[in-house]
Amino acid sequence: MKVTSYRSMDAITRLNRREFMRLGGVGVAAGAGLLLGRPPVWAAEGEVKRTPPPRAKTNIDEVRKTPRTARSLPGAFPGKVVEVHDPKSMKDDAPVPEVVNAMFERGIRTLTGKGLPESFPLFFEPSDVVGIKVNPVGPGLISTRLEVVDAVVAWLKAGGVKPKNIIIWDRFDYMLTDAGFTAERYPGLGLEGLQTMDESYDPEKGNAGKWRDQKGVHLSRGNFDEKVFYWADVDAQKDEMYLNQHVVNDKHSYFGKLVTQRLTKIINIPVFKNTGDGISMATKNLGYGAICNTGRLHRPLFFDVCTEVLAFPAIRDKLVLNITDGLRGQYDGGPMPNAKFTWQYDRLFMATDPFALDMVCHNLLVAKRKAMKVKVNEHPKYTEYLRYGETLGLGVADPAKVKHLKA
Amino acid sequence: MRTIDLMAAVLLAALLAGGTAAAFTLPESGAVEGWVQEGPPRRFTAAGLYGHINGGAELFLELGFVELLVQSYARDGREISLEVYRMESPLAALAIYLFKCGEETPWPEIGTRNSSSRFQAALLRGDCYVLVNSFSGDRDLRPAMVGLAGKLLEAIPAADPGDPFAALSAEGRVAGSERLVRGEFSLQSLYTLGPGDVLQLGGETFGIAADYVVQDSDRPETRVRVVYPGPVRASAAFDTLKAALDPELHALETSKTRLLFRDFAGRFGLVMLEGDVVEVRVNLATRPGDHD
Repeated sequence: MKVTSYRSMDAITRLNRREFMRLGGVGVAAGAGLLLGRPPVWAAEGEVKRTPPPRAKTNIDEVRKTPRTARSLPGAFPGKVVEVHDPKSMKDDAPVPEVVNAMFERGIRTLTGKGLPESFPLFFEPSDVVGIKVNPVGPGLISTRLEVVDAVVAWLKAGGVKPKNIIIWDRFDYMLTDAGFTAERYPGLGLEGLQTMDESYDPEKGNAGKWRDQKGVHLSRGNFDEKVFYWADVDAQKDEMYLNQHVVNDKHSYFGKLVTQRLTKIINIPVFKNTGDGISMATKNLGYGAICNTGRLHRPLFFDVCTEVLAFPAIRDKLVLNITDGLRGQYDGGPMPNAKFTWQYDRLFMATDPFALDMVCHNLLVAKRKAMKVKVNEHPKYTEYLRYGETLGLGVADPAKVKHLKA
Repeated sequence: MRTIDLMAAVLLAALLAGGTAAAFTLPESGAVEGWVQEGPPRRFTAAGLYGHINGGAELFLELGFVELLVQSYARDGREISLEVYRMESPLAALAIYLFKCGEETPWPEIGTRNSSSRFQAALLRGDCYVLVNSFSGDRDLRPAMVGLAGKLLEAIPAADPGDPFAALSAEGRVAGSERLVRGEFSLQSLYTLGPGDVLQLGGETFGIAADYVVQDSDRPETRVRVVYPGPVRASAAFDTLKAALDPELHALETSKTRLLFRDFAGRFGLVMLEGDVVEVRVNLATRPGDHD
């Protein structure tokens, strides 16, 4: 059997040379720079008053007008994060299914105070259409483990959700396949990428590409909901390479119709990994995974996208559970897979509140980076988006208010 | 030929050299017994680097990336790939190696500086930074990884970048903490002084950096030293930093040659301008005196 190679690719962070050069000049804002939720400033001592760089406008204020529901984030257990550890979760680099199942059961029990069957109705009804958002980047090395998804699927089936109403999804279809989420592995379940992309497309080589229909429209354009979009006053690149990857290139990032129209509940299963001095876990897995046209957003808004996309009712009112797969972690070199910096961590982290979950995991990852003598930039900008989430009422990010339980 | 024309010719030649394909050859099929090339090598120039290493291309480009060659080898359904990043110079290759190698764990049988694990060996040779990837991570593939690395290294001329850190004090320096910075992305990985390329390195001027052990402190201080092409450039960079200091850094004292600030964690930072040199010290546990 051929061993499938992982890809040195994290499509959601993809910029091309032109965009890099355009954005790389002196004076470009390096981060989000929101004032919301900043830690207290130090007492004036002959200090010079400074203001953060202006932030690109978005439609977040409009989005926030939609009334919350009983299911809205941070869900049933605000600020509560469960860390499940079992040193026997992996053997010979592969998860041990029965151990992973037990870890999942223990995590749910600690989170809800009830067993799996009794916990099911806290989150679902049998008629639900449940989307399981995975992270397939770095397949086999640092992607969402199939065994974790298996445990979740078994729980949903046992609760009465029909297999056809369980949909494993990601933004890119081919990445799902690479990571092992195939029809053969998951018969009867839905498997959907919000979009396709022609990896071999190279206009410089005269390659026409296989990503447009006869009218020249991206094949996946119809998969995105024109009525539900994250608008940001940020231009996208106008070249074909960008369109191939991002479907549209105006100031709108449309949500997948799967998310807005078909799913009634979402379970989010990211992996435990870094992106530079920040993390690429629960909020980023959905923040950059549920919409298109994200390449333009990284430099001017980066982590704020993770917060603001989750404020949309399509996510806010449907996301019921987050499970960060930390069976193996990656503490540096991310979000690309980099084996040098992966380690067997033997953990699952579970929460309804993705902001509390990410804050706990961020701090654990920083501790790991320090322990491994990786240089750590602890500037508050790397967690500011989590405090911003608390300000928007989407979660709890203040470590003093987060309840971190170990099971 | 007039001097200016000669200079232009030399510059043009250098530019052309920078745009040509690698001078070395990749190991042929069978160079290591049983391992055959899988398809032709893929070549990425700066314009296409994002197609291969997303989320990390910026650092390569900033530090002096020229081209990348990728070649996969297969045997019995298993795969090893070589990624050869040719950089502008041995110094640029060292710069990216130091950022990527982590705590160095060398395999002694690889005949060059390296940091290796069963999944990946990172090598430094001449103006090249090389990755040998084993996708399965199988322990029995180590000889093949070493063999392919060895064949490749035979084709890459060695070159010594010297000791770029000689200007940094050796006393108290944390081994393995040395870094070379050349712009926004490399500097941000150490500390956030301000937005963008706030030290005005421009992807041209290398600064040297390292951590230093501090007595009675739980974390080291970080020092960055940049020697600019002249005092005017150094002064301009210093002024830019003062004007664009990160909002989380609170200036306590400023003068034409000195900037003292306190950061978000209550630690101090000191930036000094002296001639064509800008020196930065951050993560200081105590407020430095006037003569520091």
